Amino acid sequence: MKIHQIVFKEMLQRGNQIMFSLLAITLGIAVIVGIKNITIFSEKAVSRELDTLGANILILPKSASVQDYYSADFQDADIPEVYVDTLVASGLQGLDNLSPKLSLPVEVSGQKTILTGILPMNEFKSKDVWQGELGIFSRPEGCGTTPTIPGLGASSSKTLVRKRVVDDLSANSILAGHDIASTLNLKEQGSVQIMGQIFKVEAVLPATGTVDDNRIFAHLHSVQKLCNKPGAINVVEVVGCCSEISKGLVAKINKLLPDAKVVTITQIVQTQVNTNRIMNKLSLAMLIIIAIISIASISNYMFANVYERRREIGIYMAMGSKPSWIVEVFMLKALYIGLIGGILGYVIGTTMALILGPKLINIPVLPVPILGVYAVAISLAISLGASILPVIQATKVDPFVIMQED
Amino acid sequence: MIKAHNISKKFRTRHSRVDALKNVSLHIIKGDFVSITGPSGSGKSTLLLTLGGMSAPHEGKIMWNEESVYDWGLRKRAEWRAKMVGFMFQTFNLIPYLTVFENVAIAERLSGKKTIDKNKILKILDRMKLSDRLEHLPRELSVGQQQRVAMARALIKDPQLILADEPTGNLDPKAADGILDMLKEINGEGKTVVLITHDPRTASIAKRNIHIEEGQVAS
Repeated sequence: MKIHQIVFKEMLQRGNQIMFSLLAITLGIAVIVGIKNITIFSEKAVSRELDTLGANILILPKSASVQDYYSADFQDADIPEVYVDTLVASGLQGLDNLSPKLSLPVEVSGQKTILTGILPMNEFKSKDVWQGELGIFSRPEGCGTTPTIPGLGASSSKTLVRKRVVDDLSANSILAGHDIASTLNLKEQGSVQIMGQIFKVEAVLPATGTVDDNRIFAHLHSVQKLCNKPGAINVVEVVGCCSEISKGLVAKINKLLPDAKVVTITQIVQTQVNTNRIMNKLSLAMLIIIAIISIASISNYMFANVYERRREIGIYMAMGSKPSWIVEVFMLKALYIGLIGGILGYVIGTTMALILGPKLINIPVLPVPILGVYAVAISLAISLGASILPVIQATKVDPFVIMQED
Repeated sequence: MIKAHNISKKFRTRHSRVDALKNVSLHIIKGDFVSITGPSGSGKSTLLLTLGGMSAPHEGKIMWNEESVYDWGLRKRAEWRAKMVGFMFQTFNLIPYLTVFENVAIAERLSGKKTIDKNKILKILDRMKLSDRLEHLPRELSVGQQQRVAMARALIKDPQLILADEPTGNLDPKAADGILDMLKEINGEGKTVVLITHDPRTASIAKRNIHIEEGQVAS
C-alpha cells in the first residue's frame, strides 16, 4: 500500500471537486503558455522583418549629417576602410553583414547620378583575417536564425538590395539602379562610360523605392581609384541583428570605433524593444492574475478537502500516523494537481498558440519545449504554495474533537 | 500495563465549561478485559481517547509501563499508537475510497513496516470471514462486515491494547454477538481489551466493569 495509491484513489473518488481546481490551473497555465508562445514567435517575426529591411546601422565620419538616413552615406568626409577589418576582427555578435561604401557624384551621358563603390563578398573571403568564426558571413549566434517564411528568401539578384552585398563584382563592372538604368537606357551586358572609364553593366537592380534606384554601383576599389581616395570610404552599412541592436550593439560599435559616428534606425529598433516590453509585461500581468486565481482556487479546494477529510485524518492519527505522513498525503496530492495542470496547460496553450497564432497575427508558431518546463514549474509552485496553509491546518486537526462528533 | 492517575479533562462549549473527567484513576493489567459503562455524556469515550494517547488530560497522567504517555513527543506517541494500540469505533471509521484489503493494509503500513505482509492481511481477513470481500469498498458491505474490517484493521499490527468504543452500537444483535465473541477470543489470546458500552448485556462479557457517571468513577 503505497502513499501515492492512497492519494490517487482519493482524487478519483472526489473527481468532480478536483476537476474545478484542475481546470483553473490548467486554463491559467494554458493562457500563459499560449501568450508566451505567440510572443516568442512574434518577436522573431518582427526581427525577421526588420532584418529584411536592409542596413539598419550606419558607421559614418564623425562630421556627417544624418538628416536623411537613406542618403547619409553621401558625404564629403571619409573614414578609413580599415574600420571594416576592426569590426570583423572584434567578434561582435549581431553583425549580420557589413558593406563598406564610397559614394561620389558623377555625370553619365549628361545625367547626374551617384557612383557608389561597394565591396563584393568574394573580397571579404579573400582576406585571412575575415575567415573562420570571426567572418561576418558565418552568421552570428542568435542572429539571422529566425525561421524564414517560405517565399521570402532573397534570390541572388536581390542580394544587394536586401543584404547589401553581392557575391562578385569585377573591377570593370557595374550594377545599375532600376531608375538610372531606365533613364540612361542601360541594359545588362551593355557598357557605360563613367569618368572616362568604360564599365560593363553586370546587372540592372530591381526597383526598391529608395535612393539606390538612382545609383550606379561599382567595385569599391575601382571607385577609390577613380576619385583618387585609396583606402577611403564614406560609410559602412551594417545589417545588424535587431535583437542585438536592442541589447546595445550600437554602443559596442561606438566603443570600438570612437572616431566614427554610429547611427541606427532608432524608431524601428525602439518599436521592437517596446513591442517586446509590452508583450513581456502583458505575460507577467497575466501570470500574476492567473497565479492569484489559481492559488485562490486550489487553496479553497484544499481547505474544503481538509475539512471534509478531518475524520479521515483523525482515523489516520488513531492508527498511528505522524503529522509528517499527513503532510505527505496532502502535499503529494498538491504535487499531482500541479503536475497534471502544468502538463495539460502546456499542451492546451501550445495547441491554442499553433492554431490562433497564424489566424490572429499571421505568423507561423511552433511548439517551444522549454515553455513546458516553465509551465510545470509554475504550476507546481502555485499548487504546492496554495496548499501550505490547508496542510498546516490538516496537521492541527484534533482527533479528539473529531471523534467526539460521533 | 496502563494506568490513569487522577486524570481530569475539561471541555469548553459555546455556552459553558464541561468537566468531562474528574479525578479518574484506574489500573488495567495485561490480559484484562474491562468494560466501561455509563449513561450518554458521562465521559466514557473521553476516557477511552485519553487512554489511547489521542488527547492529553488537563490534569493527571496516563502511564504505560511506568512511562507517562503524554510526556512523550507527538512522534513517539504516534509510534506507540501505531504499534501498541488498536482502536474500534461505533461508526467503524473505515476509509471510504479504499477496499477492504487496503483498509487493513494501511494500518500495517502506518505501524512502520516498509513492506506489507499480504499473507498476514489475508489470514486476518479470513478469520473475520471477509475473504470474499477483499476488493469491496466499505459502502458495499453490511454494517457487521464493516465492523469486522475495523476489527481486522485494529488487530493487524498485533497490538497489546484494544480500545473499543461502542463497537456494537450500530449492529443488529446477531452481528453484535459475532463482534463480542471475537473480542472475547482475542482477549483469550492475551490481548488487553477496554470496551466502552452503555448496554449492560454487552458489558457482561468483560472480566470486570467500571461504571462512570458525570465524569467520575462511580463503581
